[in-house]
Amino acid sequence: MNYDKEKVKQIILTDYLDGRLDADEKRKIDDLIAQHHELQSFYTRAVGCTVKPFEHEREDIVAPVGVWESIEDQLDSLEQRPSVVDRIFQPFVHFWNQPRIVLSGGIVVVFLMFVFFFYQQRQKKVVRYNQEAQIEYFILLVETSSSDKLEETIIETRLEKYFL
Amino acid sequence: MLEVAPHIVEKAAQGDREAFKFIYDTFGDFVYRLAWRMLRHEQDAEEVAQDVFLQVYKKLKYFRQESSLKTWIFRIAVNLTLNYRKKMSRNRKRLAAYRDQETEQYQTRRKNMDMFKEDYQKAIDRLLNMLNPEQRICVVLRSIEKMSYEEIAQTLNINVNTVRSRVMRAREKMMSLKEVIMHELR
Repeated sequence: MNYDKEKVKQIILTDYLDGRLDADEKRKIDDLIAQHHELQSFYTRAVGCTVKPFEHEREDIVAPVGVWESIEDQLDSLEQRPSVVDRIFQPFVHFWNQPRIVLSGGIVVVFLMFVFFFYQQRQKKVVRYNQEAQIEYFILLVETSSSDKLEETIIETRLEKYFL
Repeated sequence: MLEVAPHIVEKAAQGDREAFKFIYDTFGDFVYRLAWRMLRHEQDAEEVAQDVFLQVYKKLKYFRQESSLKTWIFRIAVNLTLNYRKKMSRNRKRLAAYRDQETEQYQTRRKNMDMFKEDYQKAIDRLLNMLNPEQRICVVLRSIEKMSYEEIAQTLNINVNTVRSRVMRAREKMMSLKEVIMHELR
């Protein structure tokens, strides 16, 4: 009978040894093992090396009593210690519990900061406006540099008035 | 069958210590055994088992009862064990040194006969040590804990075919390495 030796060996090592084949598939592999000496010895070695050594492994090992005891100790200390979320929100909760005067003071400070921020924004706008005006002025200078109107325009600046 | 009733899980999630102890009693041995099989060191296995159950305790309130508690705990145990193993081999170099020594002894077939005086079981433990962590965890879960391929796949969050292929590679490796040992023992 023709068969893919390597594939059958793979099946023996996995599904056959682990009892995952249905009755038909299992019978086919059984027949092949019975007919071919190489497969027979492969199967015997596979069982000897990968199944038998583990047959009595499980019962030997149980968790020592000390494991639960130290888990309990750690659970105790865990329950006494506030969680990360609690630690983050604790100051806010504390602040919220303060007398109203402190809370109102805080609100006033926030309001002042808000006003200051807007004032700063307005100042920035003025500066931006001036910059634009200056750029426009320079463009005008460049455009009129070759024309006869140059002197008239330049005289308008205070700095030039001073030097001229 | 390792299972815990939903109402006990709920109680444990709310901080009931008795309910949590019941969960520990159900899965504790498995978690410890798994860690021991992977780390081969009692104190390390105890430490990992503790960490696993502390994580379980902290995260139990987020656990959805739709999936199996067993698979969820096993997954935490596998992840922590593999992480611990990684950390151990990186920091202490103990495992690496041990494995290098083993590889050298087995693979170059040096005539250091002391190790072969050990009993058969210990030789098999050494064989397990030769497998990479992924192969080893599959062998431990399948051959020792008798979990199905599907359960292993769920626990490791991998495909069933990947489980099959890892089991196969591991067994091939074990067969060839055991032949080396048997040859040396003769």
